Formats: sequence, structure tokens, C-alpha cells
Amino acid sequence: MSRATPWLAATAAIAAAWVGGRAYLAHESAARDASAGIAVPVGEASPPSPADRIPDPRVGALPSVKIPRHLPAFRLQNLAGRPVPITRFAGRALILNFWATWCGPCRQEVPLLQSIDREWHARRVTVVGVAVDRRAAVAAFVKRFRITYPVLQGERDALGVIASLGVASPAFPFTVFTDDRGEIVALYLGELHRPQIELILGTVQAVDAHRLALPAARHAIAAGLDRLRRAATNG
Amino acid sequence: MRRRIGLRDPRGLALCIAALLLARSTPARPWWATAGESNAQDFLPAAQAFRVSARRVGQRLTVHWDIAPGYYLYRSRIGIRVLGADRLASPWRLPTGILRTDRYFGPQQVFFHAVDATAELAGAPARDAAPRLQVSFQGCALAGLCYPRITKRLVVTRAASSSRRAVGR
Repeated sequence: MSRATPWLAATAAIAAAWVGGRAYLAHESAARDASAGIAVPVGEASPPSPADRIPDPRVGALPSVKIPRHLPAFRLQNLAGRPVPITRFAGRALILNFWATWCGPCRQEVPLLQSIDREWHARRVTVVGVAVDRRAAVAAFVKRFRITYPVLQGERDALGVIASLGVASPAFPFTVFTDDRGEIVALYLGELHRPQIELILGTVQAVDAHRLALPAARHAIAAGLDRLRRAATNG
Repeated sequence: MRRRIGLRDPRGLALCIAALLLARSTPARPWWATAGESNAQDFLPAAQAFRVSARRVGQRLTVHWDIAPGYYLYRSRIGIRVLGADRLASPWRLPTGILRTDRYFGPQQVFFHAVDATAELAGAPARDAAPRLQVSFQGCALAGLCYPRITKRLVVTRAASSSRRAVGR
């Protein structure tokens, strides 16, 4: 074998990585396009796209467009039908939990959110539920599960809020964590469990206390969630 | 004495190509990085989690779902409607699902991996055109994420063989 062979092999490996990266990005874009109609209750089937031919499930991640740095200003109705601006909770770190009454995991996390709201209230953290559903159904749900934290409700207007958060195709539950200045620290898709929520809230507290900058906080949360995921897989 | 590496040297050529490729491959989110601001990479878009297609063999219509590993469809939330002038000789049939006990919804029949719904057309398709269906379904990921109900329209073309399926449009 000539001395040049390892160099050529290294070049080929880098070229393959580059081509793979480009294919991933092209696919991610195609996947985003293909799923863009999910938010519409009655939509047309998407045409076949390159995404339909890629078997690796991790390649086709649920797409989200750019998550804004700050929580957008919005107002939704409370269960009495009165509009409530989200700025009403200004000065507190928020756990904005988006849910729907037909969603099993959303129901599962209600007791945890109730506990967290009580436990973290003194530390200037507030849970706000945002139900994307009919008001009557939401009111019955809140009564049945004795939810004590504030719940806002909407249908098209709530979907508008979701779009403004950069979530291209809503699925529930998902939760947005902000610091006390309204900066979005994390967006968590799926059912929350206590280790995840405490990891994120601990990091939010560090941001509130100016001990951690936002990019570092996001990085710490991503790394922490990854550790929890691996521990759950191995354990 | 050290020898200089130039473009005529295979090592120099390799380094130049590698540098050029790396310089071009600086996207905002490369394939080897993880998303720092959300865990969106943990879940599939609904269109990939639940792939639906339809085919016709003779008078028999079949709607088929391919369900990604770790995802499931609720049996009770599957609906199929024939659009246009076509009529069915029998109602849609679905197999019995796997019983999954939901803490709040109680026992629910769900489908993992794949499921077929079948029905017979009453007579030939109207004006000999391809039947059109509207299908709706709702499912979740075992990891704790549920998708809103999805509604799609499918044009069912006659299958040349039983393995060929029409795709949604």
C-alpha cells in the first residue's frame, strides 16, 4: 500500500461526511414541507417527497422552525371568555404547557404540573396551561382534574401562538420554559417527567440569577436531557 | 530535511480537497450536531410516523397504514369516507387491535406496525374513474406525544398486482 493511501482514505471519509450532511439538511427541509399540513384539521395528503424514502427514523425529526429568543406577545381567553395577555405573568419564569383534552400524555402530566406550580411558586415560577381545544371541553377537563394553575384556551388563535413559537406541526403536549425576562430557555416536546422538569427549572433559575447566559443554559439543558435519555435507555 | 507538501503530492491534494469541503459544509445545523433549543429530533413528523396508502384489487379496496416503531394508532379514531358517486357493498372492516390501557381513557384498542382496512365496492367504480377516499386517523408516540387528527384524501388506482399501492395526493 502506498503512503498516499491513508490520506486519500481520509479525504474520501470527509467527502462522504459532507455529502451526508448535505443530504440530511435537504431531507430535513423536505420533511418540514411534507408535514406542514398537519396543523390543518382537514388537509390534503402530501405528495410523495424524498422524506418518504428515508427509513432511518432519527433522520426525519419533527421539524421546528427557528424558536424565537423571546416569548411573543399574545393574548388568549381564559375559561370565562375574557382575553388575558401573557404579559400578565411578566416578571416570573413561565412553564407554558400546550395541551388538548383528547391527548393522553397531556392528562398524565397534569398532577406533576400541579405539584411543580405549588413547589416552585415561591421561586417566582408559574405554570400556565394553554389548551388548544373547545372552551366547554377545556372547562370540563379543568373541573374534573381540579387544575388550580391558570389555563388559557383557544383554537385557531392558539394555533397562531404555536406557529409564532416556531413549531411547524403541532403535537401535544409541548412545553415552553421562559426565564423571568420572557426569554425562551427551552421547548420540550412530549410528556414531561419530574427529572426533566427539575433539570430545566434549575437551569432557568441559574439564568434568572445571572449565573448562566442563555446559550450556555440551552446547551446545559440539551446535555442534561441527553444524559437522562441515556440513563432511561440503559436503566 | 523536511519535504514540502504540494499539490503534486497526493497528501497535499488530499488536504486541499478536505479544506475546500469543510469550508463549504458549515450549515446552521449539521447532521452530527444535536438541537440545543428543543428535543424535536426525538419525534417523527406525523406524515412519517403514520404512512397511509390505498389500493384496489377487483372490487376490494384496502387502506393500509405503515406505523413507525414506537408509534401507534387508535382504532376508534380511524375514519374512512368514500367521496363521489362510488358506493360500498359492505362497511369498512378493521382487525381487532391490541388492548392498551390508558390511565384516563381506559382500555383502548390500538395498532402497532401496520394495519389494513378493507371494504368492497358496490359495482364498478363510477364512470370507471379511480375511487376517492377521505381517511382520518389519530395516533401517538409511546414516548408521550400525540398528534392531532390527520385527514387525507387518497385516489385509489387499480393495483396491477397486490403489492402496488396508490399514494395520497
